[in-house]
Amino acid sequence: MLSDPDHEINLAPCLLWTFLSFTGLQPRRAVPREEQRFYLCGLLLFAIVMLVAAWQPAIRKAGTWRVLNSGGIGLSFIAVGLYQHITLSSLLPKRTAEGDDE
Amino acid sequence: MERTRVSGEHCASDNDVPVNRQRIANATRILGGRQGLYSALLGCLLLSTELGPLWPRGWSHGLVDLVVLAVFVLAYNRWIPEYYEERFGSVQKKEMTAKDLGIPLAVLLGLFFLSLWFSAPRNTTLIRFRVAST
Repeated sequence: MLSDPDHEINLAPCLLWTFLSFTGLQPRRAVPREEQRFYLCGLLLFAIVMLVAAWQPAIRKAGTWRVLNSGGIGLSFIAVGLYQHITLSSLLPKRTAEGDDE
Repeated sequence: MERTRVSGEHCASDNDVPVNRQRIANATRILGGRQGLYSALLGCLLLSTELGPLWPRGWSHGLVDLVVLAVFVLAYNRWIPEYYEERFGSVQKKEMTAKDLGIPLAVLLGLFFLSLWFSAPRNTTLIRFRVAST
């Protein structure tokens, strides 16, 4: 049973990554397998953040945990955005002038 | 004249460009939808608001908020569109439908209310009343 009497644990990042994972599995959206794995990794990370705090309440005093917990949604948006940008940059490398690609 | 070279594929001329449909579909999906840097920028804004209570409060707090907001507005309206234009060329945006706007908005609102519900202290009086009445 999860113990969170002070309601310190932020569940929103987990819910966001769950939503992303489910939308990534929709065949209509044709999300690549790597991106699906990335969403599952995000879900796993924030699930660990949540569960560790539930099982080991002492960790809630740690600065890293507080930043991950409080800033989870912001960090998730940054991670997804940067992942998409890096993917796009690798799919469409910098344009080269005609004749430079030899 | 400029043309895009697809990584890992050598092409003698434009007619010989091997078509990787999966790659094109993926690039089109990202470019036509929410482009990554906009999400990352929104994440930075959310992060600064979420971590606000963890910072020591003082006169500099309001100043930091103002600077963050100004950078957000500038980046959203000028820097990121210019970067995308320069890096990837102009992209015809996908027509926004009510569903495209409604679903992310509903998800964000749902997340907001769920996090409020989970973070709010429970009304124990009501629970005790229900237990007593049964």
